[in-house]
Amino acid sequence: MRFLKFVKHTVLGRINRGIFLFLVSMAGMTVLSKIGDSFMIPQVEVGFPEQAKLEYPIEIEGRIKADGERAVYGREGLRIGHVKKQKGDFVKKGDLLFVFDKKELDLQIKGLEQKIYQCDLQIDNLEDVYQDQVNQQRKNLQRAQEDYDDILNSMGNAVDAAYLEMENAKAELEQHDNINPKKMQETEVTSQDARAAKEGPIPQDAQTAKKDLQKEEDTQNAWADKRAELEQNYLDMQKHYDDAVALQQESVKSALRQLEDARQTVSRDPSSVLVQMEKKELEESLEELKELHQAGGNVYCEFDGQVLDCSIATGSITSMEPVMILEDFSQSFEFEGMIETSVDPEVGEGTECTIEIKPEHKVLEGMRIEKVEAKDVGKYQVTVPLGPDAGTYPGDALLSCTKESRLYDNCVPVSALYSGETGDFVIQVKEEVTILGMQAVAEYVPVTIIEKNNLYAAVKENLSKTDSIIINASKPIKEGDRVRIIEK
Amino acid sequence: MRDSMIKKVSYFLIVFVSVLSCFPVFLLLVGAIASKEELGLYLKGILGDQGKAYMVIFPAFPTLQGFFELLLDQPEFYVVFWNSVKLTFLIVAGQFVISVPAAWGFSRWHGKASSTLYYIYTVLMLLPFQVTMLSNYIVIDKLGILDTHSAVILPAVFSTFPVFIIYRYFCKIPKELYEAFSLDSSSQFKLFWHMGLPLAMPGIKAAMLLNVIEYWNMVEQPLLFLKTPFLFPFSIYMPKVSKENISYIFVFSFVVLVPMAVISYWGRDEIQGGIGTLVLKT
Repeated sequence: MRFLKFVKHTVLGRINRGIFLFLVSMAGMTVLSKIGDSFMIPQVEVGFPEQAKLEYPIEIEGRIKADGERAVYGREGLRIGHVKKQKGDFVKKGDLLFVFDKKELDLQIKGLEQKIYQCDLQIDNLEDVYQDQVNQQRKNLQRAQEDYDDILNSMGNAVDAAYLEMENAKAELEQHDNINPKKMQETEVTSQDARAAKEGPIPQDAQTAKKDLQKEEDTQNAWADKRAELEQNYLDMQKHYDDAVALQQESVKSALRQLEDARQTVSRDPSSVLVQMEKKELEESLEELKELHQAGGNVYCEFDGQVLDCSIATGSITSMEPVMILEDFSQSFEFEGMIETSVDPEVGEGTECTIEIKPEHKVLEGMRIEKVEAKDVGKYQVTVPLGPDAGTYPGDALLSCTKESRLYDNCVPVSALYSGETGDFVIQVKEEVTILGMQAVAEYVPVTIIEKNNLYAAVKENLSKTDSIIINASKPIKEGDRVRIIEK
Repeated sequence: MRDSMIKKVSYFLIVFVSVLSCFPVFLLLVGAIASKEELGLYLKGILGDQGKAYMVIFPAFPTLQGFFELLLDQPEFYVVFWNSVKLTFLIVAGQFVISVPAAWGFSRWHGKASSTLYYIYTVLMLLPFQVTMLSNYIVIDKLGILDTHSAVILPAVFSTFPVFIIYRYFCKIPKELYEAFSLDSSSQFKLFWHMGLPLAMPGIKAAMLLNVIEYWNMVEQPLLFLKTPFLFPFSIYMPKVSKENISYIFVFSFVVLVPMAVISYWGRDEIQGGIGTLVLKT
């Protein structure tokens, strides 16, 4: 009770009532102020400078086209009756492309048949000639063989005869040598000496001796003359033999050569082959024309594709040049686009890219640029192969890739950049001790922009990785303003 | 006739001096309701530009925008305001707990020691803050309460001034009342609580009110002992005066003046009584 009285007297006294009311109102104002401050204080999102490369998205308009083109040829010299497909038309396998004139076809067929007949006649004629030549050659060979055999026989006999005569002469000479009187006398003296040695010498008369001697000389001379004669004979026989051998060799050689000449085969006339080749070509052409004729002169497409070029018209005569150039859809496709730039192209070979095929709304990722080719001043053609699994058809397409700059130490989001009278700056958030305690306060930091793209800017100033910079604010911020950091 | 003339002149002089002494407050109010553009124009000479500084009796374009901005858009104001409220309240409450029993003790304890101690108290009361601030700083630093509100509250709680004033009121209680109360109860505390406290309440109130006014406006102690801005009372918070915040400063000053004006008005009897007793007894 006393306490309540005390409280009533103190708290609810006149002064205290006034002060109490004042403090209550100030407390209420404090709450309102806090609420107002939370509405008024700028709310910001912060980021940090980071090391990064600036990416520049590049888009190149272009077209998907087949990697391969195929030419459609027509028979040279035929007249076109009707053209079904024109440049730009899509064709499927089996579609009619154009029709040849049938009358022209018939004429061509007839002409070819006549030519083939002429070729046949030529070939037959050349064949007959050849056969005659072959027969003649056979006959010559036979004759040469016979001549050779005859020569062998006759020459062999002659040589044998000469040899025999030479042997006989040699035998006679040897035989005559055997009856050489000197030899015989020596043999007799030797035996007389042996007998004399045994029995003692036999006494002789001088005149007898002289007579014997004279007789010996005459015998000897006669023998020698005979011998010379025989020897001469032998030499003649020998020479005769040598001559016979030489003659035989010569004759055989000659006959052999003739035989070899006769053995040479008769070669066919190359003009026959040429005629045959010509005939074959004509037959093939005829075959083609007949097939065409059977098809009614229609030429069909053999694959799915698109007509890129058509050089014929109704009534025109076909030439060696292709009548149509078709884009072959069975081949793989590639993207072709043009990029215009005053300096080097911003993309290079090997750059990874994505291709959006507009009609199908299909996106192919992971493609790589194969070629960047200068076509004109400031114009470059970019080619990207799509591969066989692309599963698409020609149409407009958009190539997207990114070009990267060098690595920069400090990159900030573009939304963090502001421009003022003194230049560009970023707003850094720093913790400062204020009347309200530790508060986040905005501070302007001037920067110099080195390079920037749509999203990021590389700045020169050495901003720390831990520096918080404002990338998004709910309202304009002046230097020194308190801010409230919103976590994303 | 002559007496009434003198009375009238005296009255006029008193009123004139009173108005003159209240003029700064009036100018404060005028500045609080003037826009910052007008104030920038009037106070050019003070705000750094060349020219004179003057004030008008009433602004050309009065506005309450300053009040809205201060009261709704400046949370810093409330931080310093409640710091000041906290410091003042705790100091006054602490003084009530410490000074009142101390004054009772002095009034009841007679002797040489008491007189000596009372004399020391009086000397301490007369010493300006600048004399004792260094010793206070060292003690507070050693206690480890530097840069906290305790560094401001504790020295003020043990202030000698309220002891001095309340002691005078305790001394006014007649001896007979003590003897009469002693017959009912021998408890000293009951004597103090049931008799001494109620009888000395005017003095206590006067001391408390005077201290509220003093500590509401204290500058030196917070300036010396507080470093963290979050702990500042409004008396040392006032930001640098510039063209941008001149209106804010006027409104700020006016708003912090209001509670003291209310206290001074509603407690004027007690304050007068307290100061009168102090003067008469001295």
